[in-house]
Amino acid sequence: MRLLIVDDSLVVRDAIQRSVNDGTIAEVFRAEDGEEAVSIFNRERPELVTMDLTLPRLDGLGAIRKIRELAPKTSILVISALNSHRTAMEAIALGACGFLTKPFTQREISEALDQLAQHAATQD
Amino acid sequence: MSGEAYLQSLTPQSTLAELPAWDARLPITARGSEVDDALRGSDKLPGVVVFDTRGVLGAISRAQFQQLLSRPFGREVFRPREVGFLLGELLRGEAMVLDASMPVQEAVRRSLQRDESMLYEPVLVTTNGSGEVRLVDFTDLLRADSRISAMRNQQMEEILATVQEGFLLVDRDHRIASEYSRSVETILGRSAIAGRSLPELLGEVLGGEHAGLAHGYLETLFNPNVIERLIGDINPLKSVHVSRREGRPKQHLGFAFKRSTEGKAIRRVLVRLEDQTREVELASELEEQERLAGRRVELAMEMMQVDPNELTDYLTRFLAEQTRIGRLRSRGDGAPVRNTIDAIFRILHSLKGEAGVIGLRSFAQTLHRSEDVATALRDGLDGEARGLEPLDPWIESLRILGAEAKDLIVRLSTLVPRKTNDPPPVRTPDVVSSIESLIAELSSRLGKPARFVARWKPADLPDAYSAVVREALIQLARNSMVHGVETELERRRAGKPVPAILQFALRRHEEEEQIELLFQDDGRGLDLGRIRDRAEALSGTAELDDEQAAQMIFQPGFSTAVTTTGDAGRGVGLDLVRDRVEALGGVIFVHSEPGTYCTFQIVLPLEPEAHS
Repeated sequence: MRLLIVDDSLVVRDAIQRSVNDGTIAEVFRAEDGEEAVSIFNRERPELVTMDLTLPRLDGLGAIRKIRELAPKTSILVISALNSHRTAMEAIALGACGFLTKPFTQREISEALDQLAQHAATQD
Repeated sequence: MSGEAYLQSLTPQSTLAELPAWDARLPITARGSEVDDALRGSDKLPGVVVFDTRGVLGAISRAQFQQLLSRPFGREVFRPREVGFLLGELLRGEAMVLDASMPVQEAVRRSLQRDESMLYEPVLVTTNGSGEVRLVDFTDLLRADSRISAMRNQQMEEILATVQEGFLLVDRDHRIASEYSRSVETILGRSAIAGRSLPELLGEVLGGEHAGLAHGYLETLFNPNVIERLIGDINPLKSVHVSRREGRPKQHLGFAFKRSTEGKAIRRVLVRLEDQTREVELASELEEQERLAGRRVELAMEMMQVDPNELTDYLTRFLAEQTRIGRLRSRGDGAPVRNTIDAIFRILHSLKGEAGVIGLRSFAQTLHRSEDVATALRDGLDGEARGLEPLDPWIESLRILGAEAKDLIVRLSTLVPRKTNDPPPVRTPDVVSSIESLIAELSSRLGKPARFVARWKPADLPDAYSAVVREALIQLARNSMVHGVETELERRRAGKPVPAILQFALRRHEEEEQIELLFQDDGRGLDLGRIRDRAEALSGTAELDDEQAAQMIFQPGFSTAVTTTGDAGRGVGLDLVRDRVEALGGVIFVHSEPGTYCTFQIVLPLEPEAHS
């Protein structure tokens, strides 16, 4: 499976990428804002996406909406600070299948990515 | 089965009015035969009430009447006699008449105070104001009483056993299924909630905005695309504060949700509702106790670091000046208020200056704030009308501070007051014994039994190091007692020995030209998980090995970050220890095993380096 990591912070992108289980995820793409995320997604069509909510250009909610329009079965995990329960639930309503709050530990992100991969495996 | 239906409708507040009552009255002039007729007419009738023109005289019960008739020739003797005569034969003491509004349990208590021969007789009950008196069978009264007691016990048990948590199920439309725990009603203060919409109900109970959040979260749970384990973080009802409403006390409620599935389909959601009010209250009580204990600890720490002679001198002067302030405050000799304030201000100011010089921060801070109040008071005084009341709380807190310090100075045995004209004390031997006192003090303040063991020879410690070592040991001992050592209960649960043991060892390694100091506690060890979380939150570094994580505690500002959750932000000051050690050309390490120990190792050169 392939994963797209979307976050405007280099540190967070690195932290997520370090937790990737090489056994399940063959390739990782990275994007720094919503527009870039949508364009990389459109080109590469990865099965898995981790998405920050506060992003420059196009925000996370917008990016989730566009990605789900392009490929409704994509498994998207939001990784973001929990600023508002309403926004979090809106992200779910738009098609994200989970929410991991920042700050996270390495174990949390690693387990969440495993869950996400399992979820994607049952999508077909 | 005489009308036992009444038992079903009883409540713990039920009164005599709710019990079956009999209205059978005879004038005092009636004959015994009429009593006999009345009792034969209804086999449940407990007796008859006897009255004359002035009112009720008493009652003749079925049991009593039958007793009379069973005497030799009783039927022949008593049937023709006047009721008044019969009553005279039977009544012991005053007839007791109870009001219908009396609670059942109180009525039983009163009835049992009757003469022994009357104990099981019916009770006379009057209805408010009407003057009518009826009879209540004592057996009915006892039955009602036992029913009410049972209800009270059951209520108590329910409150004790189930009010803490309850379960309910909601279906896809967010409606509450009929099978929910009764305690849900108690916790929410709402009854008959089956079939209601959970979000609407929560909106009513918790406040409007919660309806929308509950709705949104239930939608999330019923959304088949959602991974259940990855949405716990965004549960908006995880911990909800409910303010006082409709005469109900404030509450802290916690909601947890779990899908109930059939194959792949999410059929319903199980909701666990918990009343966390007591836990939250307990937690904040504990926090307050910790805070007060912490304040004394701070004060003790400061006092430990001050030269004992200076401390004694200062405290003596502080207590004397405090008495002077008290006298100035209460002086009613007509001296202008402004002069009094000026005098108090001068005392505060000079005490503050001295506290700052010798390093008593708590004193300096409190004095500084008192001084501010005095200044404001002085500047606001145009005439003489204003009083000195605003100063009173500060005079009081200075009094408390002085008393605490006096108490501490006695406890910290090494700081026994000395005469100032004694020869200056040799400082080195103090190092360890004052740590011992500090640990004893912390141990009793924090409720953590601990013993201190020191293995060292004073001769091994160069004089030039004694101040730094003393300071480092104070910080390390405090760090251990506050963070490392567990409470007695925690240790017993973990199967660890009580008291905890703190050890200090000092060794000279001549060939390596080093002095090694070890300080170890057998407490819970460093919480590397929490340290990593903090490190990540602060700097975004997500990958630290155990060694790197442990060394984070020496980062300036880091210690406070680790402790804000657990110990109300008391700084640990480990960064200061490291700075002092490094300034002498030394290094400090920490080694730790979770749940087992934490050891600080300080290595210094045999002789201090030339630079400061």
